Amino acid sequence: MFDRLGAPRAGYSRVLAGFLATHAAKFDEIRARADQMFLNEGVTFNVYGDSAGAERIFPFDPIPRVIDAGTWATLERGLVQRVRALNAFVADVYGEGAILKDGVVPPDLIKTSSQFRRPAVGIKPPHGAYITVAGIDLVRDADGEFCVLEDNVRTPSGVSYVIKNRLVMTRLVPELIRAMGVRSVEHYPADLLACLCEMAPSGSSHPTVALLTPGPYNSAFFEHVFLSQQMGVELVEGRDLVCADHKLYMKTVGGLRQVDVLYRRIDDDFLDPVVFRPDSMLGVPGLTAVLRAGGAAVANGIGTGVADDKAVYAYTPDMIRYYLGEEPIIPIVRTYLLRDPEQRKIVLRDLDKFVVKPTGASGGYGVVIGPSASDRELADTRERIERDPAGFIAQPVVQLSVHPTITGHRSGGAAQIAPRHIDFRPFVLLGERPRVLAGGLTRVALREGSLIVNSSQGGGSKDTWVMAS
Amino acid sequence: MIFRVRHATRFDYEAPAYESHNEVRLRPCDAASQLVLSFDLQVTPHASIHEFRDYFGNHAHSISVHPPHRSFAVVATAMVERLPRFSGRSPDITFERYLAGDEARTREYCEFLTASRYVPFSDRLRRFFWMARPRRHEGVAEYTMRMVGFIRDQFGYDTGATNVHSSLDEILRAGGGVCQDFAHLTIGVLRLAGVPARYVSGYLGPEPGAAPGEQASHAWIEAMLPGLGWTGFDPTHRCRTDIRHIRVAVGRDYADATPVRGVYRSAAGRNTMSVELEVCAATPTAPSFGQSQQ
Repeated sequence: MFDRLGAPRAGYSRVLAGFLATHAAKFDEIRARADQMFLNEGVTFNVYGDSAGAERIFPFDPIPRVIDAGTWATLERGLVQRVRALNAFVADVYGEGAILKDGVVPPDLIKTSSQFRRPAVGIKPPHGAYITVAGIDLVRDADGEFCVLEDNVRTPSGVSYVIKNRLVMTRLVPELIRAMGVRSVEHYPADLLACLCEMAPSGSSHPTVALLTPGPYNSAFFEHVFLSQQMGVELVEGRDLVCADHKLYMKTVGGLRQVDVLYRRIDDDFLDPVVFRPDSMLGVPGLTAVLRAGGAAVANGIGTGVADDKAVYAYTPDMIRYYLGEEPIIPIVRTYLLRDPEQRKIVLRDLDKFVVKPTGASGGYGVVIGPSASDRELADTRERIERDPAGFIAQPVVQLSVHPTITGHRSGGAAQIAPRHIDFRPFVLLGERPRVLAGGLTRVALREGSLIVNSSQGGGSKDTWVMAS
Repeated sequence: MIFRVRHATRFDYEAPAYESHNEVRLRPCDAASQLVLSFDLQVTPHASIHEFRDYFGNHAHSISVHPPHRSFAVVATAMVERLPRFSGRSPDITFERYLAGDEARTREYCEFLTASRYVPFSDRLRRFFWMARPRRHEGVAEYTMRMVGFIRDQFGYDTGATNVHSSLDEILRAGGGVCQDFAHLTIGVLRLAGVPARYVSGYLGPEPGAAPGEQASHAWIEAMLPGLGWTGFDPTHRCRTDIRHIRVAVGRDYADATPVRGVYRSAAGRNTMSVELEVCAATPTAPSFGQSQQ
C-alpha cells in the first residue's frame, strides 16, 4: 500500500482519502457486517486434516487492496504471456516434445515428474486449449516489484471469493466503489462459460457444459456450487456421468443427456479409474478414452500439472523465450533445484535461510520456511531432501509485502490496524482469446509475521480494486 | 517364420455387469524383426471400440460396453511374420567406461532407469542387487546375460508363489514366480546397475515339432545395450529372445503393457476370467530362416 518512503502507492491516495474520510470510525462495524454477510451467503471452505467436512468462513478483511491502471496493464500483459507459454509447453510435452529434444527443459525432469500423465498423449483438445483456467500467484518483492511465486494450472480455486468479496464491499461502501472507478469482476462466470463453450467438439452449436465436483467434502465445494449456479450449468459428481459409445453423458430425470464440455474440479489421479487410480470413486470411468476419441472436452486438460510443478517453474522464463520469442514481463523468484548437486550444496549449507517446497504439491502443503522452522523441522527437512532431492526446490525467503489489516480491537472498542503479509492470485482464462479478470484474490496472512496466506493454513482475504484509470 | 496367434479373454459375471470400460494391448507391434500381416479384434457383446497408439507406441484399443451383460469376450487374432534378428555383434564395453559417461543416457532413458510401479527400488531389491552387482571390468552385455541366467538360477518357476499384481518383494520373499516376476526382477537389477531396461509382453511360439498344448502369454525384457540398442532377453528361459518371441507391447513394467484391463459396474457377485491362447506356426519353417535355439 505504501512505498518505502511511506507515501501511498499510485492509486492509493484517492482510495485512502475516501476510505478514511467516510469509514475510519466504522471499521469495526464494517467488519462485523462483512462476517455476517459471508455467513448468510454460505461462503465457506473446508480444511483437510480437520474433522471431515468442517466448514469455515474465509476470514475477510474490509480494507481493500488497490492496483492502479498502469501497473495492472503491465501485469495483464505479463499474465497472458505467461499462461500462453505454459499452455504451449503442455501441448508440446504431450505432443512433439520439442522443448525436451532441444534441451531447453531437461526431459528427465518431465518424465519423472509426478504430474506427467502418459495417458494424455494422443488427446488433442479443441484449439489446443490445455490450460483454460490459470491462477498465477504473485507477490511484491522487497523492491515493490510484482513477481511470480507459483503457477496454478490444474484446478485453481479462489475466484468465487473474488466475486463474493466484491459483493460484500459493494454493500458496505457502495458510493466509494462507484466514485473510485473500480473495474468490475462480476462477469467472470460468463467469461468462463464462453471459454468452455468454445472448446466444444465441432458440431455442437449449443454445447452442454457441466461442472464436475468431488463433492461436499472438497475444500472448494462452495466455489463449485457458486460457479455452476452463476454459469447456469449442471453441478455433477462422477456417479452422475457415464461414458458410452465414446461420448460423455449425464444422467437426468429425462434420460441420458450428452455433455460436450466438462469443467472438472477433480485432480487427474481421481478422474478416470481405467487409467489412473483404480480405487477412485470420484471420477468417470472411460473419460480418457472419450477425450481421445474427441467425444467431449475437459477443462483443464489432463496432465497440465507438468507446467506448475515447482521444479519446472525454474524453467518458465526459458519457456516464454522458447515459445513466444519474448522476454518475460513478470520475473520469477530465484529457484534452486535440489536435484542438482551444486545447488543442493548451497541450500543445505544455509537451510534456515530458504523456503523449501515439495515439487509436486500445491496449496501450501509441505512447505517449510527456514527462518521460522524449529531445529527439529530443519533436521527433518534436510533428511527428506537427502532421501529424495528431486522432490524439492528451495527459494530465498521472499518478504511478502504487507498491507494494513484489521487485527483486533483496542480497549476502547475501536478496530486495531496493523500490517500483515499479502499475496495476490489473478485469474487468466485462455479461450480462443485470453481474458484476464481485472482483479484477483488478495490473500492475507492473519497471524503476525506469518508468510503463509493459504486459506487451508489460516489465511484470510481482501477485496482487490483494479482502477479503471 | 509366420505365426498365427489367437488370444481369447472371457469374463463371466454372476450379476450383470454394465458400464464396462477396458483398455487392451493385444495387437502385436510392428518392428524391424516382426511384421504384422493381419490383425482382427472381435468383441462380444456389441461394443464401442477406439484404436490408438499409446505413449510407448503400443497399439491399444479402448472398448466400452454400456448395457448390462453377463459375459464379455475379446478375441484377438493375428498373423505375424517373425524375422531372424540381425546377429551382428558389437564390441562390449566395460562398466567402468559405461558409467563414466552416463549423463546423456540417464536423461534420455530416465524412465527405464528409475523405479516404477512394479519395480520399486526396495531394500530387498537393493540387497539382492548388491549380491549380483557388476564387476568394474565386466562388459555391459556380458553382465546382462549373466543376470538373465543368475536370476533364473536363484528362483524357481512357480505359478502359485505370486499373482499378476505381485511386486518384486514378493518374488524375492517367495523364492519363485512366473515370467512376469523374472522380468520385473531382471529389470530392477539392471536399472540399479545403470542399464536402461524395459518390460515386454508377448507370446512365445511353439518349438518346431512340438505337440500343441496349453499356452500362456509371455513376458520378457529389453535392455539398452551400447552399440546394439534395445536388445531382448528372456529371463524365464535364460536366453536372448529369438524368432519365437512375438512382441506385443512394451513399457516400464507390467502396468504399461497389461494385455487387458478395465473397470465395470455390477450389483454384486464374482466374476471369472478365462484365457485361451493358441500360437502356432502358420507355414512350415523355411530352411533359409534358420533357427536359433538356446
